[in-house]
Amino acid sequence: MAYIELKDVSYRYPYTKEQALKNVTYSFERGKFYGIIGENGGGKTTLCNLIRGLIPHFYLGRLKGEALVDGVDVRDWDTGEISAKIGYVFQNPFTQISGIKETVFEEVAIGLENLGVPKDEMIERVINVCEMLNIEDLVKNNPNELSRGQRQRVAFASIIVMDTDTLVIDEPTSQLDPEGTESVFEIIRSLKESGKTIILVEHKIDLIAEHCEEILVMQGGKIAMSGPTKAILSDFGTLDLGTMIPATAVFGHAMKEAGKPLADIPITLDEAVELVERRGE
Amino acid sequence: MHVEFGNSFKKFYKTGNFWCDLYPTTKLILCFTVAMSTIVMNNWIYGFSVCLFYFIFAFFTGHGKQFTKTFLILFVIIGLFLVVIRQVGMRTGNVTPMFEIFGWIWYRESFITSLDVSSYMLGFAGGILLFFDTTPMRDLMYAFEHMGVSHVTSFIMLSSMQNIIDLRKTSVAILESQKSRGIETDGNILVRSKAFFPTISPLILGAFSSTEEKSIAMDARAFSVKRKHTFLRELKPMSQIEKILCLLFSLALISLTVWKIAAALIK
Amino acid sequence: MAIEVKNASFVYPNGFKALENINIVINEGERVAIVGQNGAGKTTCVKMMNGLNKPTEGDVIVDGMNTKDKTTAFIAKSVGYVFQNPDEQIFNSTVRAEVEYVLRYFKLPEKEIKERVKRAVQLTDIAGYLDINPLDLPYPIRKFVAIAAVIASKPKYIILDEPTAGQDKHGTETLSMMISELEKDGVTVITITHDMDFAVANFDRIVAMSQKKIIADGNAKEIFWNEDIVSRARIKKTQIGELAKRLNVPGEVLFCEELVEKL
Repeated sequence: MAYIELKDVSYRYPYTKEQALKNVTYSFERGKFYGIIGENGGGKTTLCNLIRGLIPHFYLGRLKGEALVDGVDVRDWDTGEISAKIGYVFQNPFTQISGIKETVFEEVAIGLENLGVPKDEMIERVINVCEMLNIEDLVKNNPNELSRGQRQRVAFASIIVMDTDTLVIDEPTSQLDPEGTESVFEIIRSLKESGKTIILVEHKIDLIAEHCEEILVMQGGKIAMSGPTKAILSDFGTLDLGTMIPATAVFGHAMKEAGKPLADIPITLDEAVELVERRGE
Repeated sequence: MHVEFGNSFKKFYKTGNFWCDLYPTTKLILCFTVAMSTIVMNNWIYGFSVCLFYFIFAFFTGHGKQFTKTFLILFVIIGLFLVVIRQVGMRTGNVTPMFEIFGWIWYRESFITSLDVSSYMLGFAGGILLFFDTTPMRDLMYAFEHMGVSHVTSFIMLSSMQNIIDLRKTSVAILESQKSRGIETDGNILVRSKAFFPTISPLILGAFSSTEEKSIAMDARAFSVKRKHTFLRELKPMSQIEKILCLLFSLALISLTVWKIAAALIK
Repeated sequence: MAIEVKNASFVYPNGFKALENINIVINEGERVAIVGQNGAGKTTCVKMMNGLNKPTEGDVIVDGMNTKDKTTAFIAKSVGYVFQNPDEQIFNSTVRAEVEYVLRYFKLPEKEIKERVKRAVQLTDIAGYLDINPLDLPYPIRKFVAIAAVIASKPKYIILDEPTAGQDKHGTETLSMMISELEKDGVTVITITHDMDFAVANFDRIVAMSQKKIIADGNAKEIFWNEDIVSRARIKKTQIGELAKRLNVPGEVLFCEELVEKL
C-alpha cells in the first residue's frame, strides 16, 4: 500500500489567484528516496508543505482532492503527531534556529525535549547526530552566532535527531560548499539505507542522479513527469521542463549526435566511464 | 569533547555560586519579600541599608559590576529627582530650615520624606533588579514551565529577546549594504538618520515575515506535540532549606505588614 | 584601471584573523571567479575590494584610490557588491523602489532613472515583478532584485556573492546572459561561487582561496587540472573534467564538445 497517497489534489494559497498545485496524483512508497526537481515556482515547496501537513493546518487556502499520509487524510492529522512522523528541513538556515538556546547541543535537543524523550537517551542521540553531521566542534557554540553553512548543518541535525520515519528536505545544501554538500548527501543516503522514506527538493542535478530512486519534475503546479531517475534524467525532453539534466547525460546526447553513440545515455560519472570504455572494446 | 559536554547535562546545571544556584522561584521570593519590606517600612535608614546590602550582595554573586552600573543610574535619577521635587513641591509641615542655596531654603522635613520615598522606591527596584541580574531568563522560564506555563509562552518570551538582537544585526547589515551602494552612512547625525530612517519599517515587516517561517520550523521540532516534555538542561529543584527560607521570609513580610497596619490604626 | 590588493591582511575587531597577506590585481574588463571552501575568506576578501572592510595591514587600491583614504560609500560608486543574503540588502516596499533607490538618492534625472532601471530589470529578468513587494517574492528572485539594484547604480566593477545558490535552470541561464551583457557594457564582474560549472562556463580567470590565503590564480584548466590545488581548496572538478580524467583523455579537457571530439 502507498505510504503517502495524493489523489487529484489541487491547492491555492490564501489571497492568491493561481493554484499552486493542480490535479496532482501520486503515490509515494515507504522506504524510497524521491527527488523533486523543476523550475522555481513550479510547486516543489508547496508539495512538501502538503505532505508535511502544513497545508491545510498552517496555510489555510483551498485544498481539493485527497491527500493521505499513512492512510489518514492530512486534514485529520494532528499537527503535533505528524511532526513526530515526518521531519521537515527547509531552505532558510536562519529561521530554523530557535533563538532560545545558548549552545548548539541544546539547540539540537529541542525536538527531543518536546517529544518527551528521557534525558539519558536524549544526550546519546544528540551526541550521535553531532558526530554524523560533523558538528562535534560546535556543540558549545552559541547557535545564533554561526555562519550560514554551520547553521544549515545544525538545522539539519535538529531534525535528524528526531528519528522520524520520513524526511522531507527542501534544498538542504544551498548554503554549503561542494564538500559540505557531498557529506550531506552521504548522510541522506545512509538515512535511506536505514529504511527511511526521503523526499528531497534539490537543484544539484548530479547528486540527484547519483542518489535518488524516483524523480518528480514539477512545472506550473503539476507533476510534469515522474518515474525512475534513470528514465527521467537521460531524457533530453526533461530540459524543456525548466530543469537541468546531468552533464554526463548531455555528453551522452552529444556523442550520439556526433555519430559516436554510447550504448546508453549515462546519468552518473561511473556509468559514463563504463559506457565509454565499453564502446572502445 | 562533545561527549563530555553532552554528559555534563546529566547533572543539574550549576554555576558554583550559592545564590545563583538557588531555584529561580526561591530567588524570586527572597528578592521580592526584601524589596517589599522597604515599602512597608517606609524608612530611609532601613531602605538605604537594604540598598547597601544589595550592592555588597551583588558582588558576592559575581554580578556586582552589572548590577552597580544599572543601580547607580537609578540611584542618581530617582534619588536626586525626589529630593529636589520634595523641596520644591511640599510646603506644609516644613519648619526646620537646613541651609540656603541662592535664596532657596531647604527644609529638613521635606528632605527626610524625600529620603524615605526614594529609599523604598530604590529598595524595591533594587530587589527586582538583583533578581533579574542573577537569574537568566531561561532559568525563570524553566521554573515557569514547571509551574504549568505553556512552553509556547516561554518560547515567545525567550525568542523575542533574541529577535531584538537579530533585528540589531540586520539593521547593521542593511546599513553596510547601503554603504556599498554609495549611500553615505558615516558622518553627522543627519547623514546617518537619512540613511537609516527608510530602513525601519521594512526591518520590522521583515521580522514579521520571518516569524511565519520560524513557527513552521518550530512546528517541525514537535512544538505542538501534546506529550509531557523532558528537559535537557535541568535546575536543581527547591530543597527543603530553600522552602523553609521562602516561608520564613514570607512570614516575616506578612508580620511586618500586619504590625505596621496595626501601629497606624492605633495611632 | 584596476583593483589592486597589496599584501593585505584583515583582522576582525574581535581579533579573528580572516585574511593573510593577500595579493591580487583585477584589471578592468576581466571576469573573475573566486572559489574555495566555506570559511576560506572569500567574502571578507571581496568586502575589502569595495571598502566595506579596510585592510588592517597592506593596501587596497581601486582605480588609483587607496580605500583607506575614502569612505566606503565613495569606493562603492566604483565597486558594487551584491550581498550573499538579499535580505540584508533589500528594504524598499516594491521592487521598483528598491532598484531606483540609489538613483533617487543621487537625484538623477527622471529619464536617466527610467533607462537604467529598464536595463537593470531586463538583465536580471525581473520586469514582471516591478510593483511587487520583494518580501513576497521567493528567495532566488529576491537575489535578482538585489543584483538589479546594484547594476542600476552602474559601478565599474560588480561583485556577486554566490549568485547561483537556489537558482534553477532558468535562473542560472539568466545569470550567464547577464554576465556577458555586463561585459559588453564594460563592467568587470567578480563572483564568489561554489558552482564549478558556473565558474568554468562564465569566468576566464579563477582564483582559489584556502585558509585565509589565495593559493592559486589562473584559467579554469590551470586550476581544475591541478590536483594539489583542487584538494587544498576543497573544490570539485566539473563532471566533464572528472570524466576526462578517469578516461585518461589527453589534454586538460573541461568542456563537453572538447571531450566528444577527442573520443
